[in-house]
Amino acid sequence: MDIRQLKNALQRIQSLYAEAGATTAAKDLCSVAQLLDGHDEKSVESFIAETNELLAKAYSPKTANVQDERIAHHAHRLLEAGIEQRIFDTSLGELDNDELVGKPEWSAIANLYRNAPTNGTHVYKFKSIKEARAAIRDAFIERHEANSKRGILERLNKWAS
Amino acid sequence: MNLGQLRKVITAAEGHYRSDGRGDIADALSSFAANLLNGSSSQTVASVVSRIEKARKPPVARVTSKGGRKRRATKSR
Repeated sequence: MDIRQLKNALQRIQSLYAEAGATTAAKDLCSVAQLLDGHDEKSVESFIAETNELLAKAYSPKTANVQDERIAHHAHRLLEAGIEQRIFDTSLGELDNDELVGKPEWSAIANLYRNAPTNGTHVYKFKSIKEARAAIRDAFIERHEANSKRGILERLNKWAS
Repeated sequence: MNLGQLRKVITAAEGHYRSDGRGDIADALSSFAANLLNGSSSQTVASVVSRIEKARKPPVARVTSKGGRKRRATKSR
């Protein structure tokens, strides 16, 4: 049995439900049938085996570990930059160019970056990558300014004494 | 529609195909439902489909547009 025949069967069931007015069921059956698009010549068994393999790969703990390492790496690079603008920009640029870092990773990195100095555990939520990036940038600016103020005060104290 | 309901729909269709002498289609439907639509009954079909789609077609590498993310210069004193 090949995928084309299975798809035809699913589409037949879908049209029966659509004719009966069960639109939700028809729509869901349509989306299930669409999963089979482009695989007409494959056997059902090989399609199932291949898809299960891809699912296992996509959601395996190994993949999660790789992403955890990626998050830790970028957060470490940003924190290592301290208040050095040039190093910070380079690290942020590396993060921008890392194609495997998506929204969840950006959020995790922004949380690590913001919480690290105080060992805080607060979880900041970001609606987008842009927002997470801005949070990292803002935290850097705050730290940079705080350090500059401290430097000015120290110099004033030294001058006054 | 949740996965439990979809499985019921497929099982009913499977029965019809079998009684029509199309055991091959019934077996394919059964195998498909048992192996790929095997999550929790309360899961929505949309979430299962999305999960399979993502696994089959991993997201294309993000193209970062420099124009999209304007860098804010550090405030000068």
